[in-house]
Amino acid sequence: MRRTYLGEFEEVVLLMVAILDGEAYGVTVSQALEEHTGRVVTFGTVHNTLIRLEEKGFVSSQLGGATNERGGRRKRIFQVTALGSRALQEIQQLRHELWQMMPPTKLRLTGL
Amino acid sequence: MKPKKAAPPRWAERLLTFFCAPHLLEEVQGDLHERFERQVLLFGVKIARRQYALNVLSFIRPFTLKRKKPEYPTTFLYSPTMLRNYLKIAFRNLVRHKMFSSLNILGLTTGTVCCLYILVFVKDQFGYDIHHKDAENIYRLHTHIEFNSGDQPGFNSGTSSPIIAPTMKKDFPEVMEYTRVLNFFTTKNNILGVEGKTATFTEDKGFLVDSTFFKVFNYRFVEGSPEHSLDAPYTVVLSTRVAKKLFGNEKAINKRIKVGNNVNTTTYTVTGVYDENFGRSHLRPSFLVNLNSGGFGEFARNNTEWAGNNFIYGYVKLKPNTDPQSVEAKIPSFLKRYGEKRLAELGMNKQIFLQKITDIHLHSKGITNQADKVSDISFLYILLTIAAFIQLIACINFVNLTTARSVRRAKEVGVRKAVGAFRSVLIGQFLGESMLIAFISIFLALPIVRLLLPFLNSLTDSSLELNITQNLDILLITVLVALSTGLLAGIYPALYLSSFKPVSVLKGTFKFNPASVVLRKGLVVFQFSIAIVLIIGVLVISKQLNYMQNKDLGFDQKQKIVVSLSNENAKSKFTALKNELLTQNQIKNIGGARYYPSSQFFEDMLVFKAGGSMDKGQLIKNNVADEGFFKTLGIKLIAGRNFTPADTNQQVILSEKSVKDLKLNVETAVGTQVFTGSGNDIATYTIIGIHKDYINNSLKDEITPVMTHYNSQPDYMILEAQTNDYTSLFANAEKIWKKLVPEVPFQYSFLDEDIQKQYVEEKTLRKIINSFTFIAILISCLGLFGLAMFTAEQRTKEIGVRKVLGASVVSITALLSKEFLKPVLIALVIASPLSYYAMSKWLEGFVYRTDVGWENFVFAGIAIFSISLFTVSYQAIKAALLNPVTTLKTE
Repeated sequence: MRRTYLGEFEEVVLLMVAILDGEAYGVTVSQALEEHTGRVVTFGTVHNTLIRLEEKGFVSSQLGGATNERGGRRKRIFQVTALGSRALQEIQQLRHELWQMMPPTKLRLTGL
Repeated sequence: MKPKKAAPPRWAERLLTFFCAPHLLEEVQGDLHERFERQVLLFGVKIARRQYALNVLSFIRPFTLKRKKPEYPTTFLYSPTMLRNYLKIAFRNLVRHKMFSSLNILGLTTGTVCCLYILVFVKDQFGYDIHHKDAENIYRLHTHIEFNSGDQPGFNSGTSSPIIAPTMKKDFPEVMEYTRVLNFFTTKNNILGVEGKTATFTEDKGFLVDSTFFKVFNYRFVEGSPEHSLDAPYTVVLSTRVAKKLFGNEKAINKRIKVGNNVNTTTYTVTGVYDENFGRSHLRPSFLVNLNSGGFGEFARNNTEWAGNNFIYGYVKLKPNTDPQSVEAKIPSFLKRYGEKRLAELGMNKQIFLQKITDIHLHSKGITNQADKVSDISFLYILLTIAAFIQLIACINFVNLTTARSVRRAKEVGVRKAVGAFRSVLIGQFLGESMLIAFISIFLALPIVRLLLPFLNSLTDSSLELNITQNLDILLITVLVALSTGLLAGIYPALYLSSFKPVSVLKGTFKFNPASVVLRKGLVVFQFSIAIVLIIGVLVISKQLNYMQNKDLGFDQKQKIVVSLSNENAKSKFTALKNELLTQNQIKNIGGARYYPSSQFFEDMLVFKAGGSMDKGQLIKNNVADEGFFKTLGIKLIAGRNFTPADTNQQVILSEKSVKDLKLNVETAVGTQVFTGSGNDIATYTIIGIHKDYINNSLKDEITPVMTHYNSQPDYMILEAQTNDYTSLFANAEKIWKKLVPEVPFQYSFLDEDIQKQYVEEKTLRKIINSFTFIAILISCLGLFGLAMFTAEQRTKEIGVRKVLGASVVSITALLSKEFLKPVLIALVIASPLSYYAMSKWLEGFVYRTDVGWENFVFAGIAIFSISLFTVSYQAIKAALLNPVTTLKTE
């Protein structure tokens, strides 16, 4: 199986983009991150990750949707690409398979 | 009213726009603002602003710093290929228009030669006394004296009373060290000889100095060491030149030599030899003797006079970071404390100033009694101005020739612009071309300066060397000259050429901008104005020099030989020498004096008539002479009698001016007495005669009042020759001299030459301006020649048509010449008042002066007119003589 290079934070951001579905841009992604994971990150980090994801082809972007509070500036809206959703599914799949392989007693022993 | 909208911090906004890549800026800024608005609502402005700033900082990451490549890359205009192309085009242009290129390069090279030499010279002049350690803390005391009687002008002297410098060290904590320097003896020539050898030499510029001399000044010793070298009495330190003269290649240290007046009685021990070529100094001593060596030095050391006796150079070294003005401010009370009584007695108002030693060489205008020849900063400014103007003339040539021929480059500019060259690139290209020419000129100029160095040095009376490799400053100057020349010459043509519109150029509707033609003419006017000012300058300076040469000085200066009686023995043998020499029928008359015309008076007295006192006295210069002096020089006595051998020091002959100053009457003064001194110490002199004023010093100065005492042992002997065979005269005279004073070399000079030496400065100026005038005219004419050539080329068809229609060669020549002679005429009109003003100012520096003279303007006008006519007419006649068939056959 081809490995998808996705870091942990990248994965979370990519999931957020998928969840926000057409409404994902810098502000909303970082807000959602804060809300759902409780992680407070700076804009720079979020942007950086989004752009890296785009470079890897997991998301695509387009400019649009200027609003007043942005001073008339457009947003860059991110969408998960086919490659991106496959990568998410593959990760999900892999995790699932791995969970299946886990001996039931093991979990109990480690206190989970 | 709408409340003011909360805004994020300005600096953060600016920072973001500065570092963030343009393609990301919009979204990033948008996100930040959106977040900011929300946070203002949630937490208030303060926290929102802080968050905003933090967020901006969080964006400083590689991804925002990295710029996206533009989709359509612009050509890299400074790629090696393009640069090669610029160079190639530049060289092709140079080679293709050989005539114009060589005119340009010739002009610029000539200008650069002048410029370079002058800059090196000026740099050299600024380098005086900077080699001493802590030179900025060393000061010379200079004295300003005014007399209360008020009739006489005050004067500034570089010398001071001997007691002042040591007392300053005692009284002022700021003064670290002092030293004094005394001109060896009053005579210019000091005799030097090695003990046990009969051969003697004369040297001027020997100084008596305090033992602290080398603690204040730095000298590089080749033998011995500066420390303690002058501690003991009767020690002497020699310059390498004098050491070589005395001892050849042998070591000089610890040898014993005979010096000066006491040549037969006392010997001195050489304790060191210094390299005289290390550093340049206002003193430039040839040897230094400890002040504590008896004689005159002893007199100076024990002198306690606070007002008069200002004959020694006093130096003080202040503690680092001391403000000299704070020391100067304390001097008046200091002088009052010690010298109040004496100053009042003499009716003297005395001030002492501190002069930085590094300023002595260039900033000593008006300060007399200098140890060595000083220069003047204004002379350097004149030189720099001339250099700048000459280079400007050469640059104007370049500007004119380049813009005039711009049609030839217009197509190139059009094509370059059409394929996408920016204007800035074109400006760079054309500037680069002028830089290229400037650098070619400098590479040609350097060897030329080297070659001409002996000649140029003779102009400025200096001994410069040009070691580019060893002297970084000179290399820097050279490169700077080249760069500024390139910029000055190239900037206007570059702006002009690059402004062409490609459409009009390529369509063929391109026309000359009439403004540029006017500018060109204006620049020619400017060039010729400078040339004319220089010509008139040379003419007026020559006129003044001629005037000074031919002015009646009140005595006869022809065929006079001055012989120096350098020591006591020679002086005492004066009468014997005179009698022996007069047996020669080549010699008509002999007179003796301490100061002969052109030598500066060092002695003066405050003199008053009966019923007066010292504080109302007149400062009168003192001379001593024998009975032959006035007769030999042909100075007329207007009252009384001449000296006789029976007279003494008490019998005096006054000059007409001193009689007037003393408010005596020429008819009745003879036989009366004048006095000097105060209290019990009053000297009385009887006036036995009055002589007509003669000009003793330079014609730049007013005649000074003189009182001449009788003395049969003068310092100089003046011979009046009645033959032109000077060789045999000197041979005979020397034979007699050797018989009577064998230990002193026979030293003579011609009086008229000594007198002319006073005008060295003016003669140097004339020589320099002479050469520069020639160069200015040469370069201006090169430019004119180029322009005429260009016009003749342009108008060949017009001339052809005119000839076909019947115009004569003469009329066409006149037509072409007229165009260029007009600017020259305008230049004459502009330059005349300018030079009249400048030269009148210059002449004001002379008490005896000629006028500027209208004939100089006429002459300058005719000269410049004929030179430019000659330059232009060559091209004009050549164009006029062309067969119209050859020029018109292509139509």
